[in-house]
Amino acid sequence: MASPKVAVVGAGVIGLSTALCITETCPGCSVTVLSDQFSPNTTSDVAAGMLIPHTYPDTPIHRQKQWFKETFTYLFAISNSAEASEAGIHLVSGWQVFKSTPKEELPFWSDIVLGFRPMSEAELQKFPQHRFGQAFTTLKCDCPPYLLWLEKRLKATGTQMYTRKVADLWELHSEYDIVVNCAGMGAHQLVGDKELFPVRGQVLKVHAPWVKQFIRDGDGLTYIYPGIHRVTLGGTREKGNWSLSPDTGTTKDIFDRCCSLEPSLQGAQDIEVKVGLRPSRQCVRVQREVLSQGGVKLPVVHNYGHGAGGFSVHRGTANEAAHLVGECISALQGSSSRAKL
Amino acid sequence: MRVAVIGAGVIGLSSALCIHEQFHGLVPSLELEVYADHFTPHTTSDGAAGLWQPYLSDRGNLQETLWNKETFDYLLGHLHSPAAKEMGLFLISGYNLFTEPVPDPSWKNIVLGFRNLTPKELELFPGYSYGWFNTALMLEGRSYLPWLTNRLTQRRVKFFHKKVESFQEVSGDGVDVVLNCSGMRSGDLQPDPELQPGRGQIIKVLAPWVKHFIITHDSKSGIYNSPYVIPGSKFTVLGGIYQHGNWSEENSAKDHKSIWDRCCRLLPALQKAKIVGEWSGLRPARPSVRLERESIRLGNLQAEVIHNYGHGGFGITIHWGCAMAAARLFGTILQEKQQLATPPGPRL
Repeated sequence: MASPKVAVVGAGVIGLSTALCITETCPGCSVTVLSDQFSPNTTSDVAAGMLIPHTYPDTPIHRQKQWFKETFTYLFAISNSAEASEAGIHLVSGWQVFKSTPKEELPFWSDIVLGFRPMSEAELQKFPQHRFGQAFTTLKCDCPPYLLWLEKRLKATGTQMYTRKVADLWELHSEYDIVVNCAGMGAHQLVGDKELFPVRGQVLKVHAPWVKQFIRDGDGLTYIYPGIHRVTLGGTREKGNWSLSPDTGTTKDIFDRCCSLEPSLQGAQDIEVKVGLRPSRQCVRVQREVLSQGGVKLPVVHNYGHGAGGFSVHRGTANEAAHLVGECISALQGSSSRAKL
Repeated sequence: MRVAVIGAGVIGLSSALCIHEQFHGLVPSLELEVYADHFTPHTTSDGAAGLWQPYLSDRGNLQETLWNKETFDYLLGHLHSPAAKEMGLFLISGYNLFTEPVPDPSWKNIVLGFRNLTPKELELFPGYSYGWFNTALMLEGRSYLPWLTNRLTQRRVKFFHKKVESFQEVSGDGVDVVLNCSGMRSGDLQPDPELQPGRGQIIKVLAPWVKHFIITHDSKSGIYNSPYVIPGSKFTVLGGIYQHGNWSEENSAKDHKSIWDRCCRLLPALQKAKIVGEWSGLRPARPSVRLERESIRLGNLQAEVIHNYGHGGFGITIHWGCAMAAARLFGTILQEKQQLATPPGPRL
């Protein structure tokens, strides 16, 4: 097989980073990204892009930790380089506060982020309703910059990108040898995965440039994440809610909850409301599959279902998916050489 | 009772406010007047980045450490007030970097979350092998000074735009107490060989991805002569110049290059930052802050002067503690003039 043609469906952080990993691990491949949406209209663009992992109930912890570590290491190097501002990657310090002491005082990722330690009494005084907290420094991937930077890196490798709604993976079998499914929430329709469900998140993006620190309630519902130009205030976790329309009652509720953690947000300007559907699953699906129809085979690599933790593990899962693409190529080359005999 | 405050930087305005807050109720005839040749945004305080951080060494002045602490605690108490944004007050974390281990500073328990840097954090800063991380406060002069001015205006304090040439000029006019908060130009009012300029120059850039302050230290070159990056609410300040005895307030191309090159080496992403301004100012440096009373005699008249100047590069850091100390000296003067029936108690 001269130059395997790989189609990546999806252009959010998972699709773009997976496509980039494929160009890095399989330089002989021709990669094309197909998506109905590109930045700034993907789910990734709504997310704050904070590197604070979500725990998937059915993925082994060591695998989640490996994904997070690879992602953190990759972004750490970019944040330290001249490209940091273009890529939208920056360090941010802050606090995670709990109303009651969590069962697990040390999350699995505490030794990967920087300077992780419990908050001091003096620091906790700022949060009278909270009894326990953790201080650390982590990374943030601002979107659109990060997605645009990935697109730029892809274009430099000769990767083509097309706006196209793929209704069925079989549509692609005549033009492509391997299909990589990074369709996020779209996988529900595209591959009929009933285990994939939306967790609706509404956020406010506001102008409050004096907010330099993140604050997150350990329950994951209230958070303040300062980005390059805007601060993301959140949020909601509405399981099974498919609505992409902003809800005004929710907006007020988010604003009030965030102001109680950081009163100076009362002075925030220019409030923009956004909604995204976290493509949630009990475990992230990073898996090879060979689809078969009427004697024709189509190798597929799935990489979707990252829910609330897409940014935190994106590079790790992209590496794994690229590796699976490599396996697909070997399998195709093996069978094509067998066919020649 | 007329009180003239000379100087409208952070020291003059905060001293005026502190005195008015404490004594206006007790001395109904109290009239405060602020005289200055420069007002915000043209004072030294306006040029400073506004980071609360004392020098590394307290230079043996334990009183100053106490005043620093009083200022930090006072500001921390205002962090959640509705005024915080208008004051230009917010929390910020960051790094102090060294090329060798150093003793912990006098202020380690004043700031929040003080700790040493981990090896992984030090990877961010090649060339530096030791450092601290802590959370401190920013108090931006360009917001704080207008806020102080508004509070004073509400209290009917009067402002006069004039360069005062001598204490006699104001005291001869019927003023009972003079507060000398004239910073760098105190020497024009009364010679003080201990007061010397510590010239600084800064470049203002747009680098909104920088969320931490980064202050490097080089024991050989001395305080603030090593690159530093301080992100504000509107722009980021790049600095690293401290020239003792240099009175020039002109921006120097040589200093610009030195700041730019060294800061970009520290944070490579700064190469892409847009430069939006440059400024030079004179830190009113002194071996210790001059905060004391002096009686000035002119013929039959006697005026009390309270000196409050010489805060070097830590004026914002120490200002409220000094303002309260100046207010205590004022209280003593009032007692002596029997303006008060009983001495003022501690302010609750």
